[in-house]
Amino acid sequence: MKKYLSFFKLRLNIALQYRAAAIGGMFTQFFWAIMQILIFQAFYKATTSNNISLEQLISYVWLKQAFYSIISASTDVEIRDMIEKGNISYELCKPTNIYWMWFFKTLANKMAGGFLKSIPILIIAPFLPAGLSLNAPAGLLEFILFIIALFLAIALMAAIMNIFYISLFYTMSSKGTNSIFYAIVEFFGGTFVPIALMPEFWQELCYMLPFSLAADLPFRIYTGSINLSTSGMYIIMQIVWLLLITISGTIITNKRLKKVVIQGG
Amino acid sequence: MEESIIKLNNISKQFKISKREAGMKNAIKSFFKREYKTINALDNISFDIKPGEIVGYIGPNGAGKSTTIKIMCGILVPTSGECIIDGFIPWKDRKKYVKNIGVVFGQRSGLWWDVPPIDSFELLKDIYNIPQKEYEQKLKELTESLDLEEIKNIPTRQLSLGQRMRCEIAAALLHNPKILFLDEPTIGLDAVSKLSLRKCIKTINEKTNLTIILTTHDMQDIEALTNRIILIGKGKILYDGSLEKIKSKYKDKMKINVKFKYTDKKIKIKEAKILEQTEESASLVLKHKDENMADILNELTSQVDIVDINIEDMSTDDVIAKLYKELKI
Repeated sequence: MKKYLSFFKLRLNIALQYRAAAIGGMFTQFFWAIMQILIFQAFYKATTSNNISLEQLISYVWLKQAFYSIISASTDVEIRDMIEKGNISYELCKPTNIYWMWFFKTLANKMAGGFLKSIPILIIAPFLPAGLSLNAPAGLLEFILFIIALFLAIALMAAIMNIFYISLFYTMSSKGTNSIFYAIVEFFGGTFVPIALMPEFWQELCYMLPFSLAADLPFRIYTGSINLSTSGMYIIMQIVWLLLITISGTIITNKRLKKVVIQGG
Repeated sequence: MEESIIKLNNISKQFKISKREAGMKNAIKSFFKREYKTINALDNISFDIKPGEIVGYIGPNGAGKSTTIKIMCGILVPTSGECIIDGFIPWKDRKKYVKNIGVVFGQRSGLWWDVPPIDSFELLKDIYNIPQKEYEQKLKELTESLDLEEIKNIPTRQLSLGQRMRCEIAAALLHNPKILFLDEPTIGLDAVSKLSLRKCIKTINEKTNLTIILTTHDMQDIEALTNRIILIGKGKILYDGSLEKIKSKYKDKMKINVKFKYTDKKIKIKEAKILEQTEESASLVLKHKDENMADILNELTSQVDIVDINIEDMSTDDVIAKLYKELKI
């Protein structure tokens, strides 16, 4: 366990080294949030949603953008390169489990960069004028559940991404699969259209899949747009999916590693 | 007799590779139906290596060097054959086994690009579970023998290739492995860096009795570091023995050029063939590779007044090139 923790430390170290990237990402998220909020304000002038009020939706957008790099499905170049270019040979010469190494690497990447980027938004957004601002959580219990769901979501997303990395063992190239993967995760995760605004049957479908549990659920819990007992049920589903994906992931990885061929000198 | 630390017995490895003819038509065809052919990358490879030995593993590109190394590192599973290294079957017990080996692939990097090597070392300490005291001791030792003091705190991306390679070797040795695999460690290095790297490798080998397996295309690496070479071509072992022996095989190709004071006397030496002679110079070759060079030189001095003499030895590169050609690999 210690080795994965120190890996985490190293990642944080690297993330802190690239200040410009952090600041750049922050501004992007800021403008995205404002833009989405303006669009939703226009929508809500014409019609309303039973699932989520405009105020809740605005908070949802802020949180989603604040934690965007944590819950987004953008894959790690380092791991992709490792498989595509063969640097994995080094990794295989170390006494570590490849699956967990990647899992923690992804986790570390997301958390190290992500939490850093979220801080400015979380500080500024609550003080914006009414109708634009991030509201306080719906209640203390909701806030606690939000924190729990958020951490489970990060782990779940890392597990989902690991599935993608394992797929590279079969496809050898991330060119096509990366876009497909990204589209699936972002769509079912409610990044393009918040899941609360989707048609009823879509919502049900989405909440069966792990993507929304990883990229949408925590923020809806925060805003209070789903009730507490449903939240609890979804959190249990997060745990079930997490176990399911990681266990099957380790099995596939171990099986596949027996057949790995590293090309070139 | 000492127990061997590395034992390979009839290792074979086959690869399936996809192939297609050139052209758009064939590209489309292969999109739907792939054709494969099987190649034998390794064909019954066997050898033994003893603890503390440095072995040069050489062969032309595509001979199967890297494949063998990968099998010995536990990365590749051979199609058939046995391989026991330090009591382990590398690919069976990978996680336990790799604690005993260190690996440097000259063309890849094992250090983290963005941070100084010392951060990578710290991480490796935790990956290999090295106790703090041992780690500090080993780091101190490696810092001295690889001269890392000034470079270990500079981000890896800002290091020169030679500096980086020294750090790579340190990273591979931190956990005190018994065996070190060096896959083309001097590739791309300048003359000075090569020399210092060879010296470091030699020192470490002598100090710690580390077994080293070295693949390289640079024959000077071999000459500086080892006397035993294993030559592989087209997946087969073609030679396993000392470099000197191969070199002496081509001793009759040595040319002796000699300059002397004016004489019209013809040189006559039983053991050598005179290629050409003028009034002030001559060049000759040995008739047989077993002839004694000293005898010939003695003979020469007795017959003429030598001004200058030089022996055109075949370089190791030439010898190996000739050998490749002879063995048709």
